[in-house]
Amino acid sequence: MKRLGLLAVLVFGVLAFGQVTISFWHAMSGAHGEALTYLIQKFQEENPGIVVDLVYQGGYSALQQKLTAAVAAGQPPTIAQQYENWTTQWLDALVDLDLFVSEEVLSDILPQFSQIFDGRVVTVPFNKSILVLYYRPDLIPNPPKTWAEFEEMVAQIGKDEEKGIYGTAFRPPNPEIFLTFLTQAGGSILSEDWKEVTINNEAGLEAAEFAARLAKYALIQGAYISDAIQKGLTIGMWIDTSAGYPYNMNAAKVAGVPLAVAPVPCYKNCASMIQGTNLAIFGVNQTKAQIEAAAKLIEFLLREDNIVYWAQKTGYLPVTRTAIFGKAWQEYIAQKPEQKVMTDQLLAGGFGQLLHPKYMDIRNVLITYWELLLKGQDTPKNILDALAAEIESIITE
Amino acid sequence: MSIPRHLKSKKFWTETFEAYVYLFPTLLILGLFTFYPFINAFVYSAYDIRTRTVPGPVVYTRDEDIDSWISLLRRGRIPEELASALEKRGAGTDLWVRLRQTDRWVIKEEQTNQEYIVVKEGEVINVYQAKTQWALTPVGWGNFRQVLSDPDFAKALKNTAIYVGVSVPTTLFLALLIATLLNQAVFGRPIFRLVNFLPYITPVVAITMVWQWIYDKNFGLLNYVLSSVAGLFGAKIALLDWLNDARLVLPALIIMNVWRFLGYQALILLAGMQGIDREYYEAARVDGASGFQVWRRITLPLLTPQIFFVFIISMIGAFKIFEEVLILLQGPGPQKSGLTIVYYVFTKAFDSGHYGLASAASVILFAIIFLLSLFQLTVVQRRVHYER
Repeated sequence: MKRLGLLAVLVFGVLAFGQVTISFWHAMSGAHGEALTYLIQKFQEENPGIVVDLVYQGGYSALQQKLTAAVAAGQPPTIAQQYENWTTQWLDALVDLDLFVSEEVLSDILPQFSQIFDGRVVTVPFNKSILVLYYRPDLIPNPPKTWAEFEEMVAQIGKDEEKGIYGTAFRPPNPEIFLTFLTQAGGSILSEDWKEVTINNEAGLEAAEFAARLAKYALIQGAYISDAIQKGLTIGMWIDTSAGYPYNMNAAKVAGVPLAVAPVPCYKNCASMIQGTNLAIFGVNQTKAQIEAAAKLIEFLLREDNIVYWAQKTGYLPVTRTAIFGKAWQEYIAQKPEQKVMTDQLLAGGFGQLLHPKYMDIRNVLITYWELLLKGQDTPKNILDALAAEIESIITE
Repeated sequence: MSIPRHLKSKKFWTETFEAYVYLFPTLLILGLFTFYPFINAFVYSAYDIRTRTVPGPVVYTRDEDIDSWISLLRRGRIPEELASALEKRGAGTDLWVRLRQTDRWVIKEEQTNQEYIVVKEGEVINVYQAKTQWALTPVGWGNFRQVLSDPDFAKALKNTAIYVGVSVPTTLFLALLIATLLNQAVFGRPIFRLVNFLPYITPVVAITMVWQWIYDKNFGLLNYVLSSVAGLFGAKIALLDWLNDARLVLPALIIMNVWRFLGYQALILLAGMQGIDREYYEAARVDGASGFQVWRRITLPLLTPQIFFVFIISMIGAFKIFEEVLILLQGPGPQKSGLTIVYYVFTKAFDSGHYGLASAASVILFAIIFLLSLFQLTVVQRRVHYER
């Protein structure tokens, strides 16, 4: 009888306490997914009143499609991973984080990752990576530091399709490499006030011509470059996201070739594009308790110990000052030169996506023309001019 | 007026009721996932559809202002302070007011249906009250005009037409050939029939994954076979990059799907062949017809109902090609060389959220299929011999 009473008290206690359940949609598979699951478990242990329903939605495009549909149906999850150009699609559905997440946490985020959408703070960085250079140390003892060296070394290795040898590699669906070249040449897609298209000015042309010259010696394929490595193709060096590190290393191991990481070669500056998603909280169809619980989860995930755990397990970059300059991370990268390269690359010139509300459409045409450029379908100048005209029509629509 | 006898019988009604009970689950599913979306696609195609999220309170005012604002608004005027606050939020000037909740004034913009809630200054924004709203603006033929002038749609249309135009006749011709062969008393016929049919019952995802490897440039089976065959004749051919070369993407899709649907079509044709009365053949033999003559003059004409059925079904199926593109190419393919109409619809709806445009494109696809089917049912069917 006594036990029963205790049980009743416990059950009543839990019910009275009010269990809050929030849903978290993500696209983290494999080791990344395991690390996230671990962190969520830890969060739930620390916050017994909150249950996080962690939902893996498949790859990024599946996640995007599901979020689009969920927002349209008025049933989004409480919190989800998302790219900047998705966020702009449903900005009004998101919660202003500065109302729920403590100022201390938000101001700790590295400026490279800071994002203001239409004057609002609606996202925090989560799984962020940056473009770095992967190279074969057996073919390239000293990785290139400048565009000129890069081009020279790529040409030296050349291209032999029969033997499967390529100086470098590019993926048409990944125009971020072009944007890195563009930024390094001092160019931009739009002028600062977003009123003018500047992608086809002198700097843009320099970047496009550079890419076109490299493309002559490049493997050009839609699939990840690690697939090609795993199959046994020889690629001298290529620019790829730091998030691909475990996949590229594994592919090299399978193929039995060495692989190393270096900073992206520089031109007028050493800019490199940041990739990866952010976290945002949806306000639609959520209770205040759910939003507060999700805000708590964001604060938890941005705590130094958790960021460092996440970064070590996944290869993503630490996103706060406290974490990146903290003892734990600094000691870690002292022993991991390649992680140090990625950290340095971020601090040296990490830049993020254009937060224009039409960037989704802009990126789509970037992909189209980046492919034309890589395949040498026309002169870089003509391609850039046509691209600029399309971007112009998108932003004036 | 007399009621037909069978309608009076109780048995008729109980049986009808029973039938509908059994049919109900199917009708429900069909209604929900086929008929309802089908009709809605037509409706949506005439609207610019956007989902917009109505946030919680967004316009601030000093406490005492609200009432005077509202009375101004009711008289069709917008208070200056409110106008500038709304402008910051991107609202136009075409506003009207309605009371929504207990003590909140909701201002609605006529054009966009966007709602703004007026709250007291200093009140925390209650974003958790946000709701998704569908805004349907009638645009008449606007969506159709936009789709038809979209170069991507033109490309999708062209790709789909080529795909249908090549794959449907090719599959049918090969299926006819295989059915004819299987119709002979060859050794191990059941095994051939099974092997032939397997691709059809294998999930398309599994098939496509396998073909992804077959089409690999450096290590794929197809290039290996091609270069080996060329090697036999002492020739050397360049490796074909099936999935990354814009010229080869459509052929790759066609080859895969010809192979995939061959067995199914051959099986139907074979069944048709075996249903042809032996007497015709015997009569032909007596008259001294050769094997090919028999096939040409007897098998083929008497098989026209099956050929017609297979043709029309496979044509409709071919127009709807989608999963293969999504999985084999992981996108629309290099330079959109694999962009098909359904893939276009898919990206318009689920990547960019232009539901109106997607609906218009799907209505156009429906019209194409409908007209072609109508043509076949009226013109081509005259040449089909149903008499036995």
